[in-house]
Amino acid sequence: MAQPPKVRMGTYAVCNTGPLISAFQSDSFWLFVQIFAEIHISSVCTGELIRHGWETDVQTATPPLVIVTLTTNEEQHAYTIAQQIARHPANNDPIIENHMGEAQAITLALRAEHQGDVLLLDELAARAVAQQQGVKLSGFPGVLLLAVQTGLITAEELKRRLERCRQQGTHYGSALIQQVYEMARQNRRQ
Amino acid sequence: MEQKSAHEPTEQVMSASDVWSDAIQLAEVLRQNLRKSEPMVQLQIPFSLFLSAVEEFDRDELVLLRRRVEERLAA
Repeated sequence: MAQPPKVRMGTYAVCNTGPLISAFQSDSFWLFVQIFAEIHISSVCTGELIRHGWETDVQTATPPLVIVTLTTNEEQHAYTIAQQIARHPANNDPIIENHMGEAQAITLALRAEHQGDVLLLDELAARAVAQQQGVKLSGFPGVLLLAVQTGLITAEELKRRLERCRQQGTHYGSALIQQVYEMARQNRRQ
Repeated sequence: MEQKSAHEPTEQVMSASDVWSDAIQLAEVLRQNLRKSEPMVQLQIPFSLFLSAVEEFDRDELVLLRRRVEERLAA
């Protein structure tokens, strides 16, 4: 018997590897679940998560975490996006293949079905390329700031979560964390 | 026990100003999607209250209202 069409409710997030690791590092995946109906990741990002040791967390989070395989055409498009990221002045790594995770996430976010959704992405060069493509995006700290603004967590909890990510090697500097904390506490831009 | 590590720890990330913009954009996306899926109810209110509510409408809402008024006037 044919499956009935899936009814779309709420906002979906397409997520790159970095923000999802940050959510796992700081026990914040439940915030993603509060904010987004589903969180979609590409197969390349899934491979990166497994290589970084987060396989059990990925399995536990599925669903609402959904692993999506790109079509052949989309994979080709992702490669051209990876080239753009590799060439971007804010990027430190010229090897194109090392940017396939971000590139696949951007390609996935460009699907028509995700036109009203958001891409979660932290890296500066990839964000610049995504913005050139017209993708609406947020980094992991932006999700936490929204969580403070909507009363899901306090400003102090935001700071603790970003500190936990930093202590585990994620690239949020102390100055950035303090500035985001002050914005969350005062509810205004620094 | 899995050995867990961070992703691309040397790459530059967004600034605090970007984080603020991210939260604003995210809130706007959520608001738009909520509006799309929000069920509508009929509500009897005084006309003066409706006119004062119009003062608070943003541009998109005013455009939608104008379209609806023009459709009604043309009917």
